[in-house]
Amino acid sequence: MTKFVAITMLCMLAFSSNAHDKSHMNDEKQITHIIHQIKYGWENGDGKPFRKHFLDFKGARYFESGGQNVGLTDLVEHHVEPEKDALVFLNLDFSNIQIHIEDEFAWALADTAVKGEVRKSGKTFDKTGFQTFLFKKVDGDWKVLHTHSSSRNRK
Amino acid sequence: MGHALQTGDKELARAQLASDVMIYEGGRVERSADEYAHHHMLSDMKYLAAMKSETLEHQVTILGNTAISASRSHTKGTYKGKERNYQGMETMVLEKQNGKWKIKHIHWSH
Repeated sequence: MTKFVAITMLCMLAFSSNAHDKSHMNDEKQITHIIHQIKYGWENGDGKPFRKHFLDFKGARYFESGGQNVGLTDLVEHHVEPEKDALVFLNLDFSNIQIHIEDEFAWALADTAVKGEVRKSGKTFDKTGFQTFLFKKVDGDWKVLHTHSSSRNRK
Repeated sequence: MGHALQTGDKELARAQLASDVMIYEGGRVERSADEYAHHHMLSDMKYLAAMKSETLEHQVTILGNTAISASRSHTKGTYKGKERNYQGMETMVLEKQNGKWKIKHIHWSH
């Protein structure tokens, strides 16, 4: 009897641990997918991924090298979408993505490389830097709460 | 943390950081509290001692054992003969460890 109880408990523990690992993997997968969608949005001047994956709330702030967008609409309409016309091209790469999950909160860090050409001046830029993403789980889906990026000219 | 850096309190500044803190600053990275304490912390202290910094906006959100802080400040002053006048942004992630909040991540930019 004791043996049976011990085996049952071990099975339950293994199942629970496996379920936790799977859930963690799903969370990481979803967050990585969102980061890739954000890359797509920036590169194509498309606000849809931002509207879908960002949490729209009054205090939302998005920082970029000493500047900020106040709220999701400001980010999309005054930053993401205008870049489609302002730039000939934009290549944005996120690498070395590290995701940390704490219950309903997650944060991700990434190395960034960004290249582009300004349509008006013909000037090109080639920068490297870092990106911080903060996420909150809302009704089972991860939503971006805040972003912060900074970069400098590639050496 | 900001107060400790501005007043040059090395012990207090170091004590705020988790040992595995990741610090992004001006396109550079420091990957631990020891690395930061032995590299840029002292120059940051000298620099901030020469500057006047005013917080313009600061938001803190606590989610269980994690907290996030996002702030914007205005910094002005002269350092090594150069005049500085800029807006700076700071993002922090903190974690409660043994009842004390420790900084796990800082992102500074201006």
